Amino acid sequence: MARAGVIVAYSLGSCVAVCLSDPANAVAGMAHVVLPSAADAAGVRTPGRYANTAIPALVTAIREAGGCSSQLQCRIAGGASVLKIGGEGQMPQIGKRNVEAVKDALERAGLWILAESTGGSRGRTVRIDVATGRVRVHTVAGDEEDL
Amino acid sequence: MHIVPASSSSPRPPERAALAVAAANAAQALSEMSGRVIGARFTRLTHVPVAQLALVGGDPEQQIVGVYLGVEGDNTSHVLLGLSEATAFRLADLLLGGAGARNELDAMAVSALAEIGNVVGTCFLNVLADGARLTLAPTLPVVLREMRGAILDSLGFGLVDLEEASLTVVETSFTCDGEAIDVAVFLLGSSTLSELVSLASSRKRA
Repeated sequence: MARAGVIVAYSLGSCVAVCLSDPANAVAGMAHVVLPSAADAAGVRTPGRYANTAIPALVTAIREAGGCSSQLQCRIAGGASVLKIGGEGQMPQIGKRNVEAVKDALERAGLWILAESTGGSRGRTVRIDVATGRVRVHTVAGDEEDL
Repeated sequence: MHIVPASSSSPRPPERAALAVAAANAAQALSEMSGRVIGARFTRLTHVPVAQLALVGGDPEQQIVGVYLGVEGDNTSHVLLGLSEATAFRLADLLLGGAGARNELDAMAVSALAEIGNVVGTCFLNVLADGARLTLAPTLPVVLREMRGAILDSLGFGLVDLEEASLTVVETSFTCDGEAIDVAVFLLGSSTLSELVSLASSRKRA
């Protein structure tokens, strides 16, 4: 969460970056979601790592920083299957499950996704410019896109 | 670029002697495969916060050629051989007899690199398995080109309870004809991997 500068999540594989911004108030934040859910949400010390705890925590942090939750823009990126191993086992599915869990948590929070770059087999680096809310995604193939 | 600070790192403390042996074995195997003089440059064991795993080894956005092996048996861990693209081409040429002009990884090159990963990874697993008297079997190698950080990021989950502080990471690099080459071996595991290293090392000294 920040009020200036650029927030970066380097080289996301199966993880998902959830970018929330309120450009009108120049507030933005990013959650780096590692897993879909925490088994014991009440006992979690690192809520930003799980989809079901990260989104509520991020919305609260943005509100406390002066952002308006009713005008938040949401963009997400990540959730790739970088390592195509293990058939239909846990590893190739975790990116997909992370994306699904993030979308579910966003819906529960009343947020809709403005843009996304998810799935596939490529890792991504995600940057959000706090002042403008602009989100840029870079892949190892050299692709760059604005969400 | 950020380099992950090692909370505990030392080249060859006695409790990690097994890693030095494994690295030497891997270097010997690489020498035999390539026909060049390859030595282990350094081997270190660190404990890395889960959130910083993608930063291990340097620039997380660097495109590498990774050779991945899962580990089955009595301990869950991962082995990743990380090569710069230039080194991957060079090693493939050394094994396949190319003239050094390779600039892509065709099926033969991928197969050669998979075998290199298999041999190197197995050197580490054999030392740990023998020393700890456990069964540690590598899965078939998988070769991929990707950001180093994205590969490590994808491997980290599931190894450790995310509420725990850190993962155990063993890093080794090599020299070729006396010069450093961009080859790194990453062995990732939970705290039990660290215990295996200590156990194997103590038995090697006994």
